[in-house]
Amino acid sequence: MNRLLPLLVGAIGVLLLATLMLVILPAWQMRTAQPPEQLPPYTGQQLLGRQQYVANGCVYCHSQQPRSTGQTLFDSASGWGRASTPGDYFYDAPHLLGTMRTGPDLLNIGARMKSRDWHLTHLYQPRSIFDWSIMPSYPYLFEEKDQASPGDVVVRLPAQFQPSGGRVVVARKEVLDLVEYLLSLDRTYPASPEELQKRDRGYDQRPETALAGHAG
Amino acid sequence: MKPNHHATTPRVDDIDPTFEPWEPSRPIPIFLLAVLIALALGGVGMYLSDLAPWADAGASDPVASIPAAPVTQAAPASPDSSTVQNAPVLVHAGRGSVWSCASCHGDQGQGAGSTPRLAGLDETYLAKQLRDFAAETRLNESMHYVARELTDQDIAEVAAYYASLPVPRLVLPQSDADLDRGRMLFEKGDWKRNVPACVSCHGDQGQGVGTSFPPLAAQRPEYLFNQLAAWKGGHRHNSPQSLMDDIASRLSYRDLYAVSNYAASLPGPGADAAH
Amino acid sequence: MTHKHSSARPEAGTRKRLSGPQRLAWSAGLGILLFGAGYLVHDSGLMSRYFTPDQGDVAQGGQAYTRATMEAKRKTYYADRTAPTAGMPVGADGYYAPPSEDSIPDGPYGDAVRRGRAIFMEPASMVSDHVGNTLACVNCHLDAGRRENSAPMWGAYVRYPAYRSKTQSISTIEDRIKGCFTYSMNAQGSPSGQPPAAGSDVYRDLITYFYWMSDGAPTGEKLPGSGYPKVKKPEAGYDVVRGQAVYTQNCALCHGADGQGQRDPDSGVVFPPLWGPNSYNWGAGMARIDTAAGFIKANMPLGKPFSLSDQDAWDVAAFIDSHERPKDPRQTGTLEAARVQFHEGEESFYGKEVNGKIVGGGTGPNG
Repeated sequence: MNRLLPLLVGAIGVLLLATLMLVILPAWQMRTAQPPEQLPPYTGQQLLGRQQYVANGCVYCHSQQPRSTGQTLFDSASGWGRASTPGDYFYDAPHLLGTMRTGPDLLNIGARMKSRDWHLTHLYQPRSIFDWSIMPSYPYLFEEKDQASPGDVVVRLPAQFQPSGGRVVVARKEVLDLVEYLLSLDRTYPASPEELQKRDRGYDQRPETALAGHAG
Repeated sequence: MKPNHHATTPRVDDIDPTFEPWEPSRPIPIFLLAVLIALALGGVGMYLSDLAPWADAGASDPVASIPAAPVTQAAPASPDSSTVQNAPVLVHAGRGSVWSCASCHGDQGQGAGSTPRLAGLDETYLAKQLRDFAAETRLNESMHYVARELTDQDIAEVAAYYASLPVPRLVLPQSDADLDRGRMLFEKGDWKRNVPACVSCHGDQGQGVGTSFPPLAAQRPEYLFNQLAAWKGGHRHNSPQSLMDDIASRLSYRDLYAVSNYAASLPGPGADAAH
Repeated sequence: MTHKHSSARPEAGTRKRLSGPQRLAWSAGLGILLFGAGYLVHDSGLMSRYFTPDQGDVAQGGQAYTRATMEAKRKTYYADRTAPTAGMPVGADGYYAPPSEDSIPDGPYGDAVRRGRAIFMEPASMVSDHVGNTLACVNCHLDAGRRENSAPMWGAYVRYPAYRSKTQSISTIEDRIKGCFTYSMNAQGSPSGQPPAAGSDVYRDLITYFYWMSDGAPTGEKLPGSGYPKVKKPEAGYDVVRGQAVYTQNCALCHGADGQGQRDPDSGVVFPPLWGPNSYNWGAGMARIDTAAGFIKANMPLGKPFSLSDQDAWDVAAFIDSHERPKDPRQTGTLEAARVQFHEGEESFYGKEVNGKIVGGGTGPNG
């Protein structure tokens, strides 16, 4: 540890190797990426909703990267959709892959939970549906009114979560945008073979290995 | 008294001039180098083998080869307008705290993802499931939220409505399930695991039998797999005589995945095949 | 404090100090060896033996002896008659392992096997002239006649011809099948009123199917899993009232509270009727309570083998067999005479009183 030059060379070399393998090579591999034809760009409202998703820190508890069935059947059994490919994130800048699954994976939430009203109820107060939920509630995305005006979206809530005095909870624009974004999260269209090739198969078993009965 | 420094501090001529305070650099042990080289070889080998194309790159799965409908398009078969007009209010508009059925289960009751198709299911079966959700003998928080607010008349109306709907064609997701194995399980079972064929109870086309054996054909595969996994894991336990609990627990998850996707690919009664 | 001087450490003077490139060479060599060792461990499947994905549970028993091994041993024996003979294929659960249905060959033989299987699965549509009820062979001989403890065909085939006290004569397997049509399939109620005639292709195809399924099973052996298991009659005997409770809890879901089973409008019978005009007649083996108890104990409810207690199995068998069904076709005179001649000493309600009524007379015009 007293020879500075080898130390520095080694350390920088490791960093460069990491950069090469994790940044440069993947970027080179994906340089010709085209968006999948079944994936439309986000609409303006969905993009605003996406900003809400980022601003409220949803990515800290929710991933957007279902795992493949070669690795585990858990994600599939939970209904989270097929394993994602790079093209699925073509319009996602910044990507919101996430690393935590405190809550479920959301990449295909718009494919399995299409009810806007459900999302509004759930975002206003998750415990109105799941009494064990630790997801924070987002009351500031809504406002309480004495009476709904025409064009207002009133949130459906059980009696014990309704504000007192006959007031109603009305969705603000922010949460309506956010729900639009969530409903747009549907990547269940089939992945093309080229896209599948780009997946880091990581823990997946190759089909031939799986058939031979080797584990992992 | 003056402190006696001279007794504790070393004098200059006591210091060993050859003393080297730094540990002399030793060469990296050979074994350690060997392990690093072996790991590097392994890493390079794995990376290169990952680059090799996968055998399934052709995506020969027939389900995957169905041209996927755009996300926004609902399932093709639509009920005639009189059915829609006669729908209970709950179905399309909801009531009070309860979201509309169609908001999750689709305008034609076709389901979405792991939300099941309701259209064409048996009336008594649907009513039993709603009551089980309300009583929490079947566990699903969103459905419990809905079902606990329903009166007996609501349940009867909604169940009758959905039972009267035609079975829609499904847009099936891509899957790498072993459909041959799924078909084998579906039509013949796996008797070495004491698993009878699905068709023994659910009908020879998976169309469902009577009030207790719901259709499996043209049901959402994510839902079927989800429920089979729930039985296997013990999360669902409202199967009469715990028939499904036993059957699901005897199959591996991969088998459950296979049979779910196979059953989902079967056409519903009276509908064209799902392609 | 004394300093341990590096210079005080004894120099490893006996070993020559390797130079840099030499060290690299040694470590490269050792590294390749280590890599090879790791690869071999991976390849040997040692790791997968201890870390296997969930395969579901498979009944475990003794050693499995596969059909492929049997085929190989046969070849050796054909070539050299001093070689050991091929044994019978046995599964991991210890029961005879019939060939997989994928392996039915092409050609006329395979076609006959397939026809036989089709008849076995749907006799009412394949042999409609000779089937007088809505049962199928597979209703009582599960898994297309392959299931152990469900009177599999591989268990029956190797035991015929045999003397049968029922007929007081030697029965070939064809005679035995004719009996199935006569009694279990209620041929008297069929359009022809008869089972298929001796020598019919119906028997030919069925027998070919049974023969194909029994390939490897030794002739004459009483194989484990053949027939239905014997369930000892409980101390408390059997009781129809208790049996009704058992039936309601375990059987009615599929076979209906009225015992008439369930039909699908398009595909026909899903769950067979257990009594009444569309079920097996009084001459069938299943009308005997001990036989029915054995079948039920090992196979019912479907998917829950051996789930009922002996007592429950006997009680529910008694309940089912206490109902009226088509008459015994051997009855020509009075019911009592038929009882004495054909059913004396049996565990059955034939000609006996149930709920104040003598049963056994049949359900109507066709039995």
